[in-house]
Amino acid sequence: MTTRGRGRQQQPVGLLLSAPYAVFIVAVFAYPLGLAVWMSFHKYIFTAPGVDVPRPFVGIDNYTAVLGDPAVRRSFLNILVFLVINVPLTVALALLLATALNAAIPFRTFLRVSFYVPYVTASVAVVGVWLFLFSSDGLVNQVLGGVAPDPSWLINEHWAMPSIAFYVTWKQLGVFILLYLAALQNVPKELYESAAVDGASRWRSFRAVTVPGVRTATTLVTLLAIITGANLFTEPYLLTNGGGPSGRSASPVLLMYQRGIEQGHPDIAAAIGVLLVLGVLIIAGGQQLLERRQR
Amino acid sequence: MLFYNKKIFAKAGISSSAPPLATYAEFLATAQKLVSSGAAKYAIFPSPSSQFFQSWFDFYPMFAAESGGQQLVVDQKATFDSDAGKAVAALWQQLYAQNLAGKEAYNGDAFADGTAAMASVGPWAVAEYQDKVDWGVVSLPTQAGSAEDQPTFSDAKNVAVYTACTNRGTAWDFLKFSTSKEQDGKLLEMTGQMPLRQNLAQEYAAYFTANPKYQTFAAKSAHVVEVPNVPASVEVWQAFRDAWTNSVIFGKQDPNQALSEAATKINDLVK
Repeated sequence: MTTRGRGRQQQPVGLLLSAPYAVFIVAVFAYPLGLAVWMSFHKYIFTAPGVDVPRPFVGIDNYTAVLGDPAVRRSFLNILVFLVINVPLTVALALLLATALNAAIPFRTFLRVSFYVPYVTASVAVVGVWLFLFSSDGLVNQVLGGVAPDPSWLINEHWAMPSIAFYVTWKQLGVFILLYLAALQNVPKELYESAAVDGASRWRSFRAVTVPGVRTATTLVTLLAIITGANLFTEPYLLTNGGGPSGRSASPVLLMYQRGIEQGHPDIAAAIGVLLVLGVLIIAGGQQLLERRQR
Repeated sequence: MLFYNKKIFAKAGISSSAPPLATYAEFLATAQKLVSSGAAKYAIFPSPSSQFFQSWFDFYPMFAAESGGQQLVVDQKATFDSDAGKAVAALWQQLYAQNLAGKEAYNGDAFADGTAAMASVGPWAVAEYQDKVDWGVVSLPTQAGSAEDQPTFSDAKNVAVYTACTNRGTAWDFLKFSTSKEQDGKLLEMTGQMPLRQNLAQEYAAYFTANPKYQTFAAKSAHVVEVPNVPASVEVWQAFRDAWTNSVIFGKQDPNQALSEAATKINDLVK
């Protein structure tokens, strides 16, 4: 049986039930996205409500300005560095830890909760803990002694972005572990049993059973990590003093805030935003393509 | 004004009643002594963040004092690419290079915690540090030596009425009322903020007799410089801040060259 016939049937109750969410999507996602694209092609300024000012079409002027700005190019490079570290690390650690937490180990519930706590704690509070750990006379440098980087992590132009990537990985790990834990419940126990009967080692059955068994979850985790990572703002704002040192940890969203809200150039900020959306779509598309080829 | 922590100064063996802080040479020597003696981790610790407004708390007050009260931009030209601007930048560059000022984000208030021995502050600091720090107050240093009547930055908060406002008459009446002598007096009483008004010490003599710690700020209010009222003001300050953090704080560029490049950029922005 195909689903074609069923899809064509009118379901008034279904439409009614889905309407609130559809309205939500249109109002909170589709309309702002459309407006951002429109803004990025016009000279747009904020005004008091009810004031009518000309907002002429300027073609790709905003995009030329954005792409010609070394600070913006740097921020896109920064976010790429961030994603290259953050996404693989997130996927690998989340899967490994979820597998461990799925096994019969002592304090399982306690550990599951522990990994989730950073995710639900306010960023500002957790950043405080990381400053305590990673500042120049923080705990980490005291342990490292002579091998501690100089200048210290968060004010080192090479370490600032990786430090943020590690921080975000740690902070968000809980939610990704949760996704993997859910997926692990769907991997049939029989597969592990037959792998064991065939004499597979623990590592071997992890690779041959667990990894393919949670592939859909991996797709989801990767996508979510890319999207949340590309929207990085709080961490460079708080942890590295607004994208420091010298813009080495500035993210595109941080620059959108500076250009759009602080400096009053929403059109420029919109252009950065549209480029960021396109960038994320390209990376996500490439990832999907890779995924399909593997199947 | 410059607040200093008397206990930390005493611990470092520096006079806590008349500390040597008038000239840049004295300021730097005092800063070195504070840190090398172990009395404080840093001599001074303004936020090193790249927020556009942070230069109002490190560079600008000292520039106002050093330049005799110049605004950052005068007649659509940046003024800081000058001897005064370079001198201020050179002093701060030394403070950062010798780790006498902190370069990292700090959780909390470094002056209240005793992490820093000095802080450049406004009248808000009187109430803020009341029970936390035993402080003394001096004018900010200048190259030749600070003077009582030297200009400083006050970070004034101003109001304006938009031409787009539909009830301009009412708005104007409201502004006149809210900045009247009586209302300004209430602002002073409730917040300790200096109203924008001449002869503060005489106008509100009773308040300053009852609250003598605010007298230095009242006297200072006759010699204040504000941020220039120019279009693209935030971009101007961001351009300045980026140059400052890159050169003075992180030492990636020669401060004089950074100031000169920032001046060119800012002249472009305001023309």
